Amino acid sequence: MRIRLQHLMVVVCISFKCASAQSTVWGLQSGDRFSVITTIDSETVIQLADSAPVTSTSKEQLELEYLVGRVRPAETEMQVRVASFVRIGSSGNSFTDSMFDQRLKLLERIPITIRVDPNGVVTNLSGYRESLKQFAGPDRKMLQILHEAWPQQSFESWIGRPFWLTKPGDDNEARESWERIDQLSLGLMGGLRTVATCRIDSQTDDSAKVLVSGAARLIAPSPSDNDASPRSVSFTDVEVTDRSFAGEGLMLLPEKTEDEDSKPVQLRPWFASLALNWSVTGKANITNSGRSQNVSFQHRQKQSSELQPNFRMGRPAAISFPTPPPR
Amino acid sequence: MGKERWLAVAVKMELTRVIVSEINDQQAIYLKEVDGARKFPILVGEFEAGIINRRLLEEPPFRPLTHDLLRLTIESLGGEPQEVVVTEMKDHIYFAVLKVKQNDQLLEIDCRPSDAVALSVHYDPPLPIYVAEEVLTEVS
Repeated sequence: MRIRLQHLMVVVCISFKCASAQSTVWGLQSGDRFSVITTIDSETVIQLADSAPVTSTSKEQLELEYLVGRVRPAETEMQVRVASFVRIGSSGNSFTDSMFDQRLKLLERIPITIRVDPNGVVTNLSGYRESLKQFAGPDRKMLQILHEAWPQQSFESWIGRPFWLTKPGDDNEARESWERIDQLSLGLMGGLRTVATCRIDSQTDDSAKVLVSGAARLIAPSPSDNDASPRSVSFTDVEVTDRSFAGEGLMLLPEKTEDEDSKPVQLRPWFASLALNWSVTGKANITNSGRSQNVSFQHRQKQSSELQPNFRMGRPAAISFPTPPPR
Repeated sequence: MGKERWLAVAVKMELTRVIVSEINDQQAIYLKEVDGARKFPILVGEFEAGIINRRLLEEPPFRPLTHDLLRLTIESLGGEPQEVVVTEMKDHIYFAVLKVKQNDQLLEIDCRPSDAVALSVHYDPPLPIYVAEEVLTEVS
């Protein structure tokens, strides 16, 4: 009887070990800390009916730090914070840029929490409203505009894109392609919603190249929002005439070792890099102080994300989540 | 192995991962082939892992630490570090050399790979890191 019980315990222990190795996204464990730097390169050309086109460009680098908190079989909870923001170039107003940068820096102490399932899908996000409030400061009109220009779905997509590179299913039923729903904010023009299909293009023993494709669909700013909006400029009747979306990434595959002791340290997370390109061309009506004009626009955006080399396996008990600064 | 031999077949690598563990003594760095997919880990000491990590995070110390001192010493003596090479592995221990040019002479200084890599990241751009093909074939 005792021997049977011991056998059972061994089986249970092995099962738990296997389960813990496979049940978290990217093999993450509580206390892990990693950073992803995303370079956002965008260009927008807007042409009012009888005017010359106006081109605005920007290039920013944003570092998001992910700190793994609770790990449960169905989901991994993480705290995310903006660790740094660098404006590499912009054709905009330097005063406005500077104000934007300062506001963004305040986000460093806002606790954004996400839950990610083992397939890399963000199932829950909190801290969205707090982040916008922190960004808007005491300006209620600004808060309303931010809500319209950067809806929660876009915010969630922004934080969750690296997790696209997660091959769903266990080893027995690993799929070669999977889908993710994404929303890219186009500010007051609305957003681009994409069902992105990730497909393994090629793979070696320890990594896989993933191609991303999909059809982007414009989510126009809703008329009811416009009615309630405090802003003086609004886009209506937005129509897209041309659009494209594509990307590629590199993900690491879980190490397969028969003898777990032969590998000194488990290499995780399993993300390496992801580059996505959006392009959209269209026309709309722009209303400014009650005056309406036709406008044509072209927007392209490239987001390149890379995992940073520094990875920390921390003590789960030592995690202290940041608290919002007093206002 | 003669030094000329490994010099001829050294493969350029890059530092792709530093794993700093607070929960066990195993700290590691991963080197990956620049023009290929081969990679391998090297176990390093807690201090060296911390130093490399700190440099990657661009957090300069208030006062020079050991590898800053090493860099400053080399510079003060007129040396120009060229590259670091992991030359061989014996009994699961890696060996490396730091190549420093001084007065038109190329000096090869025996060192641990962890110190070599730590010194590498103290330069901007980092000193090139090479690994002998034989070592890479064996461990990757």
